[in-house]
Amino acid sequence: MNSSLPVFKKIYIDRCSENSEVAARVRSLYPAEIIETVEEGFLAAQRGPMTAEEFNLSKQTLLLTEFKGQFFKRCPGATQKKTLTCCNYHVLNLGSQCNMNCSYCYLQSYLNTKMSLIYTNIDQALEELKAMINEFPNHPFRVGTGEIIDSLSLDEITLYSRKLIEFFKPYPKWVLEFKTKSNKVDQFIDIPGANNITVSWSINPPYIIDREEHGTARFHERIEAAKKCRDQGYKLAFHIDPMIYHPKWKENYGFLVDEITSTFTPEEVQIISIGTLRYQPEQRHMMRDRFGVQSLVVGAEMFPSEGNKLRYDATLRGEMLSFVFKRLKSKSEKWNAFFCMETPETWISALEKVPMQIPELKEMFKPLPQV
Amino acid sequence: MGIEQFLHKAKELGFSATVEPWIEAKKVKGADLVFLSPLKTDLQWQLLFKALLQLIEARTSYTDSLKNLELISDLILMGHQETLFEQSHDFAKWSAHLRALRYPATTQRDDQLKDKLEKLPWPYGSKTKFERRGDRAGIELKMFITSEADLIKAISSLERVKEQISE
Repeated sequence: MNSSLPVFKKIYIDRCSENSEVAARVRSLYPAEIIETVEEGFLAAQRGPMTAEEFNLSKQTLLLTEFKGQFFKRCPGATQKKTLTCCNYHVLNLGSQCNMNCSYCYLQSYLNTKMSLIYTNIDQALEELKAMINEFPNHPFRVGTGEIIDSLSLDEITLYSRKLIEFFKPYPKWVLEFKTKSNKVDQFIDIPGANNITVSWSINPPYIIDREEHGTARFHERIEAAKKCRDQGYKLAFHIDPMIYHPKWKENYGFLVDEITSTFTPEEVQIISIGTLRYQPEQRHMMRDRFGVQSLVVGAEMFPSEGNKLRYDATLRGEMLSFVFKRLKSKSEKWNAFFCMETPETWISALEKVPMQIPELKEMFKPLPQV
Repeated sequence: MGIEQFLHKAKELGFSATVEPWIEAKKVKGADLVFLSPLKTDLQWQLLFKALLQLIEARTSYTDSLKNLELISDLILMGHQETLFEQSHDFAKWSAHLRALRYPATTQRDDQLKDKLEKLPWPYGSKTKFERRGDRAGIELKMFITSEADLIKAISSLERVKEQISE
C-alpha cells in the first residue's frame, strides 16, 4: 500500500457501489483483508448520535455507497440570511467526514453517521449540475466540494477532481472550487488549469496548524501545493478561517498574510475569505472530550451570538478581522478579501461597510436564483 | 456521563448524602451532565462535588446549577483548585468570580469598557447599566422624558457622549 494514502482500518463497499470506478480503485490501492462488501441497509444502521470515541473511529472507517438525495445545495450560510451576510456559495457534497482532525471542525456537531462516506454515483451529481447550468448558464455560481468532506484529501482514492475539472471547463461563468487542508494535488496537476477552476486552502499560521489542525498538511506544504497549482494555470483562493485568538495572534496572522502576499499576486488569488472561530453550542462537549481544555479552541472565551453560534466577543472579532483585512490591503488594494459567515454589524464595525457597498464584492454577494 | 456513574462516584467519594437528594429534587438527567465526562481523577471529582455542595447550599436553580457546574468543570480541567472557592460564601460574587476565571481576557476588557463608558456625560437623570449580552457588551441607558425641552437637553448630552467616544 502506498504510504501517502489516507489510512483506513476498515473499508466497506455497499452492494450498490460494487461495480463503481471508485470501488475498483479502492480494491487496487488497499489490502483485500480490510475490504468487505455489505448489503443494503448497512448505512442506515450506522446512523445516530456519536460519542467522542465513535467520532474518532468514524475517521478510520470508510463506506463507499450511493447518495440518494440532492447533491447540489446552497452553503449553510445562506440559510441564516437574516443574521449573516451571504456570499452565494453553493456546495456539491460527494462524501462526508474528513480523514484529518481539526479541533474546531464543525462536523463534530453535524455528522450522525459512524463512518466516512464516499458517494460513488458522481455521474448523477454531474447530471444534476448539468441541468442547473443549462437553466442558468450566465449566472456566476460558485460551487465548492469541500463542505462536509475535504475536497482533495481523499481524492487520490476517487480521482473526482479530474472529472470535475473537465466538466466545469466549458462553463466559464460557473466556478468550481476545491477547498482543502491537504497538499494532495498531484493526482490532477497534469490537467491544465482554467480561470473558472479554483484550488483553495483553508489556512492558519503554523502555530495554529501545529496545535489545532491535526493530520493536515503543514503550512509550507500547503503553500508549495498552491504554487504547483498556480504554475499549472489554476486560480487560487485562501480561507483564513477560522482565525483563532491567542496571545501572539497579531504576529502570527501578520506572518500568514505576509507569506501569502509575498508568494502570490492578487491576480493569482481570486478570493481571500476571513472568518473567526465559531461553532454550535452543542459541539463544545465533543471538542472538550476529544481535545481537552488546553486546546486554544476548547479553552477559548466564547459567547452566544446572533444565529445561536458561539463566537468571540464582537469587538475582539471585529479587531481580528479588520487586522487581517487591513494588512492585506496594505500590501495591495487589489487583494480581494471578504468576511465569511459574519453579521452585517461585524462588517460595519470592521470596515464601516457591508459587501454591497464594496464594488469588488458587490457581484459576489448579489442574490442568485434559488436552487 | 450517566446518572448511575455520577451517583456511584459521589458515593465512592462520600458526597452521596447531599448529591442524591439534589439529583432527585432537580430531576437531573444524564444528558444534563455530559460536560463532566472529561473529569478523570478523584481530585477532579472531589473538587466538583465540593463545588456542587456550595451550589446546593446557595439554593441555586436547576439552570444556574448546571451552568455553573459546567464552568467549574472547565476550570478544574484547566488546573484550578483552591482558587475555585474564593468568594463562594456569596453566590452572586462567586458566580462572577468563576466567570472571571473562565473568561479572564473578556472580563478585563469589559472592566475597562465599563470604566470608560460610565465616565461619559450621560444625560442628567438617566440611568446607565453596563451589561454583557452574549458576544456584545455595552451600556443600557434609561431616560424619562417629559417635555420637548427635556428631549433637547438629552440629545445635546448624547452629542457630547458621541464626541467623547470619537476622541
